[in-house]
Amino acid sequence: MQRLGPSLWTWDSSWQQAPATSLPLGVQKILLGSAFTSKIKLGPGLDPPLVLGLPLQLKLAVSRVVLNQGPKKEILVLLPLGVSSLLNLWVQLQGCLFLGTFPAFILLFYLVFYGFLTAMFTLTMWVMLQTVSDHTPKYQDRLATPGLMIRPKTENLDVIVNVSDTESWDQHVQKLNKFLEPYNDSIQAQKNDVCRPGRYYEQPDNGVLNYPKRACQFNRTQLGDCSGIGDPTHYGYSTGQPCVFIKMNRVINFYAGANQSMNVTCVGKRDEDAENLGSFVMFPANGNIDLMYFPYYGKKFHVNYTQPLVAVKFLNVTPNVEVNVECRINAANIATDDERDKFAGRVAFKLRINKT
Amino acid sequence: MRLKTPEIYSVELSGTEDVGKTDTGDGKEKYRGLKDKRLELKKNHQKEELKKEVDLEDHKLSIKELERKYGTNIVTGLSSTQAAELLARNGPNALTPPKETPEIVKFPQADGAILCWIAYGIQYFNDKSSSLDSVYLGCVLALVVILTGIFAYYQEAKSTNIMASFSKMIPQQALVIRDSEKKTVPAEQLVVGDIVEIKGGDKIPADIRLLSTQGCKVDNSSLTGNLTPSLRTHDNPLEAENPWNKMSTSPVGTATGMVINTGDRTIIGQIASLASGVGHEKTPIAIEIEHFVHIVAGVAVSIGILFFIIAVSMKYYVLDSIIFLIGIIVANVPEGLLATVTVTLSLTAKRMAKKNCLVKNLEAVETLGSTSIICSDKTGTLTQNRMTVAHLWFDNQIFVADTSEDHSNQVFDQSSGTWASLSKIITLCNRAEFRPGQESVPIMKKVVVGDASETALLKFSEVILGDVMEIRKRNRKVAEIPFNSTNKFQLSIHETDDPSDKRFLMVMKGAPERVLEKCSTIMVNGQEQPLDDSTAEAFHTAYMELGGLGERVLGFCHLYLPADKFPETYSFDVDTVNFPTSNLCFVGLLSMIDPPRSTVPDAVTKCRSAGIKVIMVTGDHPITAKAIAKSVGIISANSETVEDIAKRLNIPVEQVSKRDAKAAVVTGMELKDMSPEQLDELLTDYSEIVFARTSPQQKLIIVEGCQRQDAVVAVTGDGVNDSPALKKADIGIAMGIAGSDAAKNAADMVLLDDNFASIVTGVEEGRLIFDNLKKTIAYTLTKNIAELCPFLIYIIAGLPLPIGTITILFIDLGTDIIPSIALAYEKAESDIMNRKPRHKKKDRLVNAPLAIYSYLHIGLMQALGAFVVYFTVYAQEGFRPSALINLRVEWEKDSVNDLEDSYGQEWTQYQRKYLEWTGYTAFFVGIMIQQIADLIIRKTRRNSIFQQGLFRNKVIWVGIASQIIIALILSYGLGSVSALNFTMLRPQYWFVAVPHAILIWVYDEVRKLFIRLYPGSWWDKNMYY
Repeated sequence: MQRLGPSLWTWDSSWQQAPATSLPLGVQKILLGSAFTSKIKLGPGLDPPLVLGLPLQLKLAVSRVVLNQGPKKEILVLLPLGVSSLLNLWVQLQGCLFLGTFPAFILLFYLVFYGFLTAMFTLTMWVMLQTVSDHTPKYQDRLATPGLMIRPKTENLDVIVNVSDTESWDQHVQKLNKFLEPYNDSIQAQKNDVCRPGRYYEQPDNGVLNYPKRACQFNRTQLGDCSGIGDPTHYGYSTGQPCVFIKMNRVINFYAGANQSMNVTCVGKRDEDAENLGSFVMFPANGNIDLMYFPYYGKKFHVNYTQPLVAVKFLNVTPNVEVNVECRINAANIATDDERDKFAGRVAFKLRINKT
Repeated sequence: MRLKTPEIYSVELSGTEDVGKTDTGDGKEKYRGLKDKRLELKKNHQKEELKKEVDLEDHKLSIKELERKYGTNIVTGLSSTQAAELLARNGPNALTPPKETPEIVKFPQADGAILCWIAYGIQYFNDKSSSLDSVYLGCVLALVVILTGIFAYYQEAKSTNIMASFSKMIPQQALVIRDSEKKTVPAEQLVVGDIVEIKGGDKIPADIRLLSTQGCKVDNSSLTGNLTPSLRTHDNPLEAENPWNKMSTSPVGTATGMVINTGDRTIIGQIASLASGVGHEKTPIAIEIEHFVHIVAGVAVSIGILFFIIAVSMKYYVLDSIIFLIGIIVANVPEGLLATVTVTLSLTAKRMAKKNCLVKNLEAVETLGSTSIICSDKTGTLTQNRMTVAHLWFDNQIFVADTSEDHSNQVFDQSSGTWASLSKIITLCNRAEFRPGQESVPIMKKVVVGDASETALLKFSEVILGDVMEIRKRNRKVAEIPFNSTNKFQLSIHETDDPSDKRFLMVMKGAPERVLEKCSTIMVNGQEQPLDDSTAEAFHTAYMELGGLGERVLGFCHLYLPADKFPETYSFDVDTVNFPTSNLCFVGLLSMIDPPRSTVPDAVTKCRSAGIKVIMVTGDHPITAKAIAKSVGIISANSETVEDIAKRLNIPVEQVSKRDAKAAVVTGMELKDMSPEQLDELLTDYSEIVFARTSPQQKLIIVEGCQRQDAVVAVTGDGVNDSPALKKADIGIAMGIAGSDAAKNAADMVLLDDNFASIVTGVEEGRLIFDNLKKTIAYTLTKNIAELCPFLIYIIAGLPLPIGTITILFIDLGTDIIPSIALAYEKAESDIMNRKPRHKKKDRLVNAPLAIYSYLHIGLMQALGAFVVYFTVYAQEGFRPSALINLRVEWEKDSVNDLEDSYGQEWTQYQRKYLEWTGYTAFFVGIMIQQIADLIIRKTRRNSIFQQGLFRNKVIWVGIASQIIIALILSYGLGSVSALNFTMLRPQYWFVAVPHAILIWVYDEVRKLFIRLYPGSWWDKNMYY
């Protein structure tokens, strides 16, 4: 808090040029305040300057100046005179500019500064996003080996069925119904092509964007006993012969199987698991996955793509025992022995059928 | 380091004193131990005790009484059994060894250590259900704590070792009479009542009462602060003649004495324990660091708790929230700073050691920089500590002699016949001799046997006339009356070297008025003239003038004894004085002073311009003190004391307005009568103060007075009695050459060359280190925001975690360490010796602008830059920024192995985890790249980088290289170690943050530009840290 001095007029000159704002006061003591403050607080030793016996106050806002002298009040409109006056405002007059108690400049500064930072961040992000294509990710090195996953999706990859307790498996059934809905024959026939099996269904762009790309039909009926169509056993869950669906993770432009046929096999993880697992059947037969469902072209292009599934129906699992099942894909170009990624080309899950 | 060899010293006694001093050895520990015992003493009680003179009665007792009192016999001594008994009862004659703080206690003092251990516990608890990451983190945190602890301890131990090596223990032996036999026993085994024999050069092993002596003097200077051996009889036991104190040295002769006090009960022991009782205040830098820790801890804990609450209210698990809390705190605590500060300080300490300032306590490095008052000793510190001929008066004229350290050019007129006679008297009437075997040593450094004045005269004549010993040989001495305090003159009779002149030459020197009394003629221009009133008047004027300069004046006269009365065979008898000692011919006056060191005036000027007040505290006579103060600039040329003004205006002292005087000379007597308020007034009113005739105890009062003014006080001292003041001072500076071990132990710093000018270089270094620490801290704080934001965004927006806790530690303790140390090598931006010392309470190390600018400006920019790298990595791998929001829960689920990205691809848990680590690495690299820019901008606070020179500080570039190399190693070398969460990053990602780094640089240059353009503006106030 400083007493106003003659230096006021160094700043003053910039707006003095505008006729509406000239103040023929000469070098006077004036109290400056921001327009936000109704009353200027006086610091110690700061007496209100008197002009003709009346205290004089000057309040600044961005676009106007309010001049108070006792009961008289005048509002002067400040014409925007360019950046220089604003710049001067913060560099020169601070010692004198008395902004009440609120640090308006600091607020203004941070507003501008953070605005600028946001703009800078947005700009760099925008530039960065220009390097990313809409349909194919730039790098796919992490996805060299697609993972395997089961349906129904459960919290800890354990399929627990209490045969007598409908609620325990009903949620699985609901999930599966929902999951398999796009595979309904009617929908598939309507949206997808019938492709030639045993061959990749390639739809190259050849210079022109081939969009949207067609997908091959995977009919729900192909899942046989596990299709759940007209199935009173609810995918076998009500009878303790549950179906578990194996799916392979989608990876764009991945030619799974390297032009050779591939299939999914399941085994009990350890010997006792194998014993407890009993027999199972797979749909499509042998757990085959056809090449025609590859390559995948991505969400944007391959709009109606339905990934191939393999259903496993466990026929006589030893009840009341936890069985560790591991299914893996046998394909020429999918390694299933990654030490760190336990789901690369394989999936392990627990199966437990509780019967009373 | 053998620093003890006296170079400038010439007086024998100092030489032996030095040798003796080594023995007290590990005194530091000893005194420390005493502290505990003494802590119970209340402070004021202590002070009283300090200021009270030591109470000893034994010097007044007769020998018989003594024998009775101590149950001994001065001839046969104690019996061995008696001695053993006493030894068992009173303990060994050594100062109590310290109660060492168990070293392990010092270890976990690293800040935040306990927190980290709790973290470890929680992590471990959490581990049961989650992956091993938490355990790794716990281990790393624990490791960090231990390593920084060990490191800080190691650094401290290293600097302590410097001192330990400095004063190695040499077992001291004492010659003692026991069972009527002379035995040599270790001094430790002395007991009260032992009769000891002291030879010249020995150190007195305990407080003894003198029984008999042969030409033996003792130097008590370390006790009384006096330079010359005191032989006065006095009621005060410290100044009395017969009791001698432990640690004093006896330079010449032999003596027998009875031990009256041993160990801690000796006067030295008492003083030492009092010294350690004086509380040592926290160093300013320790206060600053503490303040900084408070800020950081405040920010860390408040943000941590805030987000803990947010996390809990956002339905995160409490345990998860606690882990977030730890993450936030780890991000906020600059783990590497403790080590950095320690290294920075010890680097400076090393640099200062090169400039002859040995810093014992690392933190004292900075304290010196914030010093605002220096209370300096005179003798040895400001002066050369040797008497030197300064002026001569003969032929009614005062001549100036060269008093510089080497006496190189004596320019006064030597053609006069009077000079020939005077030089002859100076040469012949002198008992001092060079110690043999020093032919190759420069004259000024030769060791002399004799007292200070005679030494001065000997060297003076040696420089001008050449081989003095040869001249003395040619003018064989036939009789001599040595100086004594009753007749106050010294006289000798010589044959002349002129073979044709068979007369004897009688030469005399002494107190000028006494010498003049004995003269009837005076020599002017080589001619003898009768001594009339006008010549006597001229003599008095010269005498007063020289005396007024604070110099010790000697008069010289001679007489050629007539050959007829005193033939060649005449036998002179000094006892009956069978020769005339009056009607001599007065030749001239010669005055001596302990001249100021040539570097001191410059250093004092530097202190002045650096806003440091230099106060001289000396035991000397006020006139001498004032003269020296004037000549070194402590009292500047144009300022006057009240007495000066009174003299000039010819009015009584009382009428002089005190405001007119800038300088003041205060004697110990005046000081004694002053109330603390009066002292405060004195210290504030006068800018140039000299305290004369002060006792070392009063030094403590002065220091306390200065500290009441909120000043950071540096005190120099050398005597044992100085140690309380040295302890009390914010920084105690002991003299390396003249200082006693007690002083060195109490001090924070030791001046190896006893030179005041070294203090000034120390101040400069201290100020530089403060500035550079500011830069280091600003640099270190900046990245905290970049480390913190990820956690906040992670909690609020649910992005996959951008940077892991371990990765943060790799920044804090890996890439950032060497660069922050490198800032310690930065040169000063402007002349730091031209600004005021920083105010202890106002100019903080970490102030609001520093924190705000680091956190909210640069820190935020860095965070944004690092996020760009992070988003780039995710987007190019398939997760666009929009897809990341609120992905956290699914992302982190172990069971979700088909998480869909923006392109419809599905990711297994491990694939995501790997991507997350790549994200960590990317964020890490983003911060690292921008920290390079941060490092460069932190080189200066006001000047442009280009003004400072981008390449002047090469260590910065070492720092930058280390940053890059460590990051490369982490990413490409250790990318496969899963515990470290680093992956190999594609080369182009290293450059993504470069635009932001450049932005940081440009922004800071703009900031500095405005600061320089508009000093004092709002910008300057808010943006200059």
